[in-house]
Amino acid sequence: MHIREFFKSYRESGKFIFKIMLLVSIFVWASGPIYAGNYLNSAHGNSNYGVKRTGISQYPRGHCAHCHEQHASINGAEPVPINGAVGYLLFSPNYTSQTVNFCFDCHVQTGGYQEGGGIINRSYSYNFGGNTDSYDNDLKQAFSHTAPGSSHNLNDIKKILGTTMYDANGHEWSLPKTLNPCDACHNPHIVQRNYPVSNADGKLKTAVTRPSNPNQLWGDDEGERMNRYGDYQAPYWYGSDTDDPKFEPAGDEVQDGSNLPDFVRLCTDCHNGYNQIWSSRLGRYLLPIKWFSNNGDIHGVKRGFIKRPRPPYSYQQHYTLSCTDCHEPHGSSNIFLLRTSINGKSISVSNTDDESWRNFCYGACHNYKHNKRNCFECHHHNKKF
Amino acid sequence: MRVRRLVFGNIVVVCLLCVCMPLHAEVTGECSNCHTMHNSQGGQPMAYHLVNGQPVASSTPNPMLLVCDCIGCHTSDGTNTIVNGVPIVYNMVSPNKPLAGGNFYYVINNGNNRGHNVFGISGPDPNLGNTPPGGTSMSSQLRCAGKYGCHGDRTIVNQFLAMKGAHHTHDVVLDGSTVGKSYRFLKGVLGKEEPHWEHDATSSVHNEYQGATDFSTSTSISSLCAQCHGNFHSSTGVGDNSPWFRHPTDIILPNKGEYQHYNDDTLDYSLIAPVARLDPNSVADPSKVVPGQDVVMCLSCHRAHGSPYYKMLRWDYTNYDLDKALSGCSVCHTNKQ
Ligand code: HEC
Ligand code: HEC
Ligand code: HEC
Ligand code: HEC
Ligand code: HEC
Repeated sequence: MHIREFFKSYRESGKFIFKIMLLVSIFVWASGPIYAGNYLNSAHGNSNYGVKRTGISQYPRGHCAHCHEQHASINGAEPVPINGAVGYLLFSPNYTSQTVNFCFDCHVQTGGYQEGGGIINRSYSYNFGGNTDSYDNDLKQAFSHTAPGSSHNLNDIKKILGTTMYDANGHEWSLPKTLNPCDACHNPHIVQRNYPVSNADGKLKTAVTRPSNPNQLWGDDEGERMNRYGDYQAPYWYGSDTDDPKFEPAGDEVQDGSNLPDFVRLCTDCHNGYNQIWSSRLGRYLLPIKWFSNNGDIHGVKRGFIKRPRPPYSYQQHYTLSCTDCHEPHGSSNIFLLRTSINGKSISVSNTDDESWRNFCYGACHNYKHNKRNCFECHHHNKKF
Repeated sequence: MRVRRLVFGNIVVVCLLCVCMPLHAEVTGECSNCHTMHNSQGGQPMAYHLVNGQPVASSTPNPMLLVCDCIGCHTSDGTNTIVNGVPIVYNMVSPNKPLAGGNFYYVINNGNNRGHNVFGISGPDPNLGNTPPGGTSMSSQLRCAGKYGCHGDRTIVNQFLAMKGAHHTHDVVLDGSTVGKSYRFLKGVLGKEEPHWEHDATSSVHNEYQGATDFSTSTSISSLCAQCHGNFHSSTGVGDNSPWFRHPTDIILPNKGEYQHYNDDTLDYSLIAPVARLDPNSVADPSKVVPGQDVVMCLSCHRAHGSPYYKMLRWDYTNYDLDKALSGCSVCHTNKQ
């Protein structure tokens, strides 16, 4: 139909004006405020459960002033905690050490400055794996693990800030040197409460931002979740099995990763074949992780079938795993940030002995072990088998 | 000549004010409108001054034979904020259009933390006393002018001596050389004065404030505040770069990140969170803000005299509706709303 006839037919049917109005209003609605940020949709800016510093009664919950002091003075004196005027106008220094961090001033089970005194943020294995037997209660705990446990080393993260990094596609990115290392993955002005899992109206609540793109939430939109790989299979929820299958991360029937941020992309902004990442704990550079390469990791995107799978994984299938299927992001009582529960089962890996590894590989996902040598000698990151 | 009668209880004070709408900050009109030669007319004293916001007739003459002290002239018992050409900074009833500096009405009516507690209008601030936060204690309560005030020559204690000549200065060009030739009689401060003190301000009709790119330039409006609130405007107190220790002023609004989208990306000059200029007299388009060029100042967030809001802010930062509370910050911090 010629365009003019098209409009004519509408005009004649009397729906023309209505349609135009509808189009216009959809356009106006969809365009919205262009530069509106996302702070008021963030966890910190939430007026029901957002930030509220003890003793700051003049400002409502969610208000900037609970974290930022314009002049480190209100009514002539610095509000508690008294730390002098410090960077980013924060009420206490941004980053000091693995266990002294502005974030932990509130993200701690007891003794924090958030009204009520504490914030519970349990381990991934608990929140998104259902493991109620072994977990951390708050972030400070999670970052406090020492051998045989492990914690993501904030000082090592701090060292990459201000340097040139590459994402898994080789694109350059860099974050300000002065940032709090936690902010590398969590832009505090936009990240959302992600537990319990809430995935409604096409938006997943997500607590992460990518280091390579700190001003955008990651995982909130479709196309930024694990289901984008087409072959993601969510692991079982803790204690669940074939009889009563429930899946991570919500403990329900959803198992395609559509409710899980694409953590592969998030983690591989740093952990890929381009960046050399020093581990103070190991005293060496980490193995490169090549999730997207044909010659890279077997658990990554490349082809290759799973060997001897335990359910819910099946034979003759390839799966792209999420980093969080095996790793805690913050800390764990296991080595290498390995989760305390994997694929529904409790997993203990306290050292690099063969027995520990068997516990991990065989205990969680594979139903067969060959007793040749220590699993780890042949199977590790950046290995095709 | 118009005669204005102020009636307060049984004290009748006649303050004769007949000033033709002056164009610049130079008074015109008959001397006796403002000066009283013998402080006596029909046996009644002509001079008066304000005590806690109320005019009191006084048989002691005011300095310079003025009919009243500073506040006496700059006060009104009505709602208008320009009365016979006098800019009113203290209305005894809610002002209809507060001028650029705000209004001292709010200190009396909304609370002591709504503005500067100026002697004559209110008692000392019960929380802060005479100590400016970020500065050192003053031995006397705040005045309009002089050593304990903001206007005039701050090396002279007496308010009138500190202002000597100012009201009679023809100040077409402000160069800061005298009180009269300074922005709003703030000695040494530069800027461009909107003739009606922002009575009918719009994004294109407004004062232009002097900004700077360091803490040592003494002509900026923020450096005036810093004369008392020093720590809030210094390298040691604020820092020289991000991460800042206190909110920076006299720094350029960066032409990047969230700042380049000032005021919802319209770049329209915002009366809620305005900016200063490096050269107030050659602003290409007063209705626009130019990131990379314009400057953050104390008055980006505060009024100078008083406002209806907490800590004399320009918007209601304590509003329980977060959208409103943060509306001023988000003019610049466009990512954080
Ligand atoms: C970005 C906005 C902003 C700018 C710019 C700003 N202030 Fe403030 N100021 C505030 C806020 C908000 C408060 C209220 C206290 C708080 O929440 O930190 C405040 C409070 C104050 C106080 C009261 C402190 C107390 O102890 O009660 C003083 C004095 C003050 N400001 C002076 C200044 C001076 C002087 C400048 C310029 C050098 C300035 N401000 C620049 C936002 C600002
Ligand atoms: C007798 C009345 C009178 C007294 C007393 C008086 N003023 Fe004024 N003042 C005026 C008038 C009228 C104007 C308006 C002048 C103009 O803009 O042409 C004015 C303007 C001002 C301005 C604005 C200047 C500008 O650039 O727009 C300031 C500031 C000011 N006065 C401060 C003071 C101070 C401080 C004192 C006390 C030392 C004081 N005034 C005493 C009448 C008075
Ligand atoms: C609108 C009010 C107003 C009018 C009208 C006015 N004056 Fe003044 N005059 C003031 C104020 C206010 C001061 C004190 C502050 C200052 O000097 O700025 C002052 C100060 C003075 C002083 C002492 C300071 C100086 O400038 O040296 C003299 C002398 C003076 N006036 C004379 C006159 C004479 C003469 C007239 C009439 C031609 C007149 N004034 C008209 C407001 C006025
Ligand atoms: C002559 C000294 C002086 C100058 C100049 C000065 N202030 Fe103040 N300021 C004080 C004093 C004293 C106090 C505390 C007593 C009070 O609130 O009046 C104060 C209090 C304040 C407060 C807190 C008000 C409250 O009651 O909680 C703010 C905000 C403020 N000043 C902002 C400014 C700004 C903005 C400027 C510049 C436009 C400025 N001040 C210039 C002396 C000064
Ligand atoms: C007139 C513009 C403007 C307004 C209004 C404004 N800010 Fe700022 N703010 C800035 C600029 C510019 C910087 C410095 C940015 C830089 O150096 O990268 C800054 C810095 C900051 C910082 C420190 C960031 C750092 O890198 O150290 C904080 C926190 C902050 N502002 C909070 C606020 C809050 C809260 C408000 C409202 C009370 C506010 N700002 C209002 C312009 C503004």
